[in-house]
Amino acid sequence: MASPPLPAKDTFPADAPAVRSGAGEVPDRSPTRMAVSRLVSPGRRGTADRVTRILGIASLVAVAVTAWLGLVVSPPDVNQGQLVRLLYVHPAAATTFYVAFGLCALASLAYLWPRTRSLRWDHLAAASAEVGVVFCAITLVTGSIWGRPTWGVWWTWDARLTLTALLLASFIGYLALRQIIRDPRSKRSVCAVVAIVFALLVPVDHEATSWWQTLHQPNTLLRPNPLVHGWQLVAMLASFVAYALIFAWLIVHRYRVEVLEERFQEEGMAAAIAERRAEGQEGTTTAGIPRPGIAMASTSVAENGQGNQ
Amino acid sequence: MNSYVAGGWGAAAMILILYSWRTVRRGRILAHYVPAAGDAGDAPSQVAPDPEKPWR
Repeated sequence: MASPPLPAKDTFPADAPAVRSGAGEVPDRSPTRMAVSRLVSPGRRGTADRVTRILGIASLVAVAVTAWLGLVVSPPDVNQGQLVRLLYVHPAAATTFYVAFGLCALASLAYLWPRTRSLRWDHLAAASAEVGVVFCAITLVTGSIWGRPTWGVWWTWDARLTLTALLLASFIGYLALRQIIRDPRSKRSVCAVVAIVFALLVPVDHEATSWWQTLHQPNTLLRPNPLVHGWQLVAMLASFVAYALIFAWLIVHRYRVEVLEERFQEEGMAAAIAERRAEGQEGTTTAGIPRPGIAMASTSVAENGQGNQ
Repeated sequence: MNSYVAGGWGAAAMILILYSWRTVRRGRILAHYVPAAGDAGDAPSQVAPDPEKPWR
């Protein structure tokens, strides 16, 4: 016997219906919202489209310019010699992960705030946390490679280094938490609170070199007399632009992956519900042993009374 | 070029390339199984029967 039809899905906004929009509410089709929907919606073939292609090409150009400035044009430093060229990959990565974790916290706050609550903020928080973890790892790896010839050790329990490692571990834990909690609504709320708490470490990490006696050098650019000049300054600024473009490109892709994952799970739940309904109408138990994932998903939907938040 | 400089630039490039490749690939695989937004209400489901994430 055919399974009863599932309730029709709201297909707008394109990525996912907002939590605050109730049933029967007319979707907002303003140009701004349509543009945002287009930006965040994945296509039929994946997460790439014209926006990501433009961002990707701009990122590659910026990386090439940074490499040319940093490895060819920029002269060796008086004190650091050739090692100054590592500063064209390290500080910009650190700034990028600060921005990523800060964005994660802001998006989580917007998700928790009743007036702005939307699935989009949760998607953005997840995307920026994962991208931030990648840039944090780059920061630690390049910093360690710079520290070995400069300080004589690969690692030291300096305040800045320790806090950065703690941030990395914290946001890896945040990403793990997103995988562990099965109920979607609980997952979003709990993870939003956790992200805000973890992100409080970001300003502490940034100010660690000012607040404590550390081996790590103080801020290079954010001071009255910057420590770099001439082509070194140009190369460093180019590296910031390159990392910003790469970050934007990755965030758009990762956000769209998050949207697709959400749809994938919803489709899995819908299939499980249809299967259960068909079983109930047939009155048999011969449909086989349900897989744990499907059984848990359908139970969660039944308990919550809704499958599409 | 200084080997530490090469190692630092190479490590950063490698991490970014691998993560970018993984993210784009995840998107392509998921887009294959999930109908596009405009199709969500009327297209037949193409979702794989296994609810586990397919890219793993």
